[in-house]
Amino acid sequence: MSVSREVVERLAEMTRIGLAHAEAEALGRDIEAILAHVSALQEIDTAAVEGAPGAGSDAPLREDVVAASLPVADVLANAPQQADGFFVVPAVFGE
Amino acid sequence: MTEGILHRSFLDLHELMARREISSVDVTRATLERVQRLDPDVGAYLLVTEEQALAQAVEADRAYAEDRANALTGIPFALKDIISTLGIRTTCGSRILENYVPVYQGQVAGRLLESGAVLIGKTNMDEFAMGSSTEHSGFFPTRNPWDRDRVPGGSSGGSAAAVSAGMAAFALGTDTGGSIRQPASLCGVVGLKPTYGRVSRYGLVAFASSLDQIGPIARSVPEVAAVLGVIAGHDPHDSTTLRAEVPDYRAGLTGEVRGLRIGVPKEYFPDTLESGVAAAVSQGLASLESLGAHLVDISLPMTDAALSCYYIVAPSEAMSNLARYDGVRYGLREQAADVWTLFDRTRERGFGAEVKRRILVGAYALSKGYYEAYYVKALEVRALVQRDFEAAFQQVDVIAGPTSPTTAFRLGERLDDPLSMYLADAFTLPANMAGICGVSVPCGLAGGLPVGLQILGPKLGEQTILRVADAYERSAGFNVLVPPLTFGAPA
Repeated sequence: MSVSREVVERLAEMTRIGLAHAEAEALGRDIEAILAHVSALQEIDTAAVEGAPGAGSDAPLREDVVAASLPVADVLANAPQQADGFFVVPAVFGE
Repeated sequence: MTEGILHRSFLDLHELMARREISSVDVTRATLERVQRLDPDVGAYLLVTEEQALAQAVEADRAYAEDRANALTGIPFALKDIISTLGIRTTCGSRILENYVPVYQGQVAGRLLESGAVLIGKTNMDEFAMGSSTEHSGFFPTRNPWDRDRVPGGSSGGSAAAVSAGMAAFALGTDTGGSIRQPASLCGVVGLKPTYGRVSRYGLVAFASSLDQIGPIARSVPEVAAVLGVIAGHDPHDSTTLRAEVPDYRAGLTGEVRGLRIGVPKEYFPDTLESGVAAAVSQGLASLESLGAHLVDISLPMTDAALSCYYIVAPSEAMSNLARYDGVRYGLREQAADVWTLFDRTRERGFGAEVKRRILVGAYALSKGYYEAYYVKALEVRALVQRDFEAAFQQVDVIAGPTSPTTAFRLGERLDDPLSMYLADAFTLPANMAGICGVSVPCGLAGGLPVGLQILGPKLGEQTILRVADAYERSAGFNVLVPPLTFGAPA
């Protein structure tokens, strides 16, 4: 299977990672090698498995009760840019 | 006070503190001085919290004076920098979190600090715990105290190196595919990956949430047992934590293994296993047999498949978990005129090559047209890996073999070949896929480098694997391997 530069660029676009052309080619080769290795999975007979398993830990739901949350000032303390109790980002929609 | 005391068991230090023969301030000062002297050559710490440590040590000495100390009170420890510490910078080894200061306390950090243990600092790691050598740290690589041209293993390489070099009495690491056990093996210390759900992940920066587990690293089994007793248990903040009672792990260390059945999987002894590793591990198994345990040949046929399975499941979960680093709420931001370019540039600059590689593999495995063939198939194989272990534990009490197929490899040796790096975890990651527990205990040297014996147990089998590891450690007589430090200014 071949992972072309175009495929890598599409994956990078979906995961919002800017990539230089050269980096995309190198990553394509790495990903190709990794996928070639993990393709061994296709040979394994999994007909006996029903349903997709997790790690097997129980995760019971807790009661939905109101509890204190972090103070807004704390939550904003690490923000690269903030104003009036909000995170600030460049305009998402045009004029 | 001599630095030699820093290689004593902290359980002994606790006794000495209880008898007022030494103080926590003495031990903390000596540890900080040692860090100052050795760490420029090791690079185990990303941050040293000297001022807080000395203040905590004073408080610990007060606790001893007032008879409210426990085994961890006043003991210097380190935390892998993936565990949130309130008000103390937590980078996860990544440039994208270079200036991030948590606004809440991770559960395990809170438990250790409440018990009076003294935080020396935050340790280096592969970025977001993705790696097996600590060379993928966004800041600098950590070096193995046994040989500074070699890696300490990873991803908890800073924690293992710090404990090995006496720069902390114990440390916490995290293990998603072997990241506690493999560096413990390569640095000659003891490292435990608890059962999935045994220890709270609240405040742990997420990598692969169905696999991640926090655990202790120390220089002997009783010390690991003591730390586990403090950090284990249910936490309402982490609904995957188990409600099972936390036993007295140290009380279970009876030294008795007579009649115990130890499974030896043939898949963990391939032809490619380094001969020195094979010899040390075989000798370790023979010691356990001479103590009265029975060695049973078993097979775990899904061992190879588990590796492939891991490298689909872990990147898929990572892709999702790492979507939160967007330069908006915390962490690095690369300014841009529009928000999409802001995301792209922030993540381009903030993430290292291995993190990008895994995010992209995860995106591939989860994308339309490939999801069934990769991700769903991997989950089905994961079920077969679990069945492998379930079937084995019908026959035997524990499973034993090498922790890592090799001793510490050279810096740079595997950096350009991601697949060869991934193979470092071939014997450790099946336990994560199955959610079971495992411990690595030193079993001697090969070519002057430590070798680890891995003991795996069923879910909540910590008491049994610690008992086996402790019995072995006692009989082997080198329960503390001290690296022949040939660097650092003289004390």
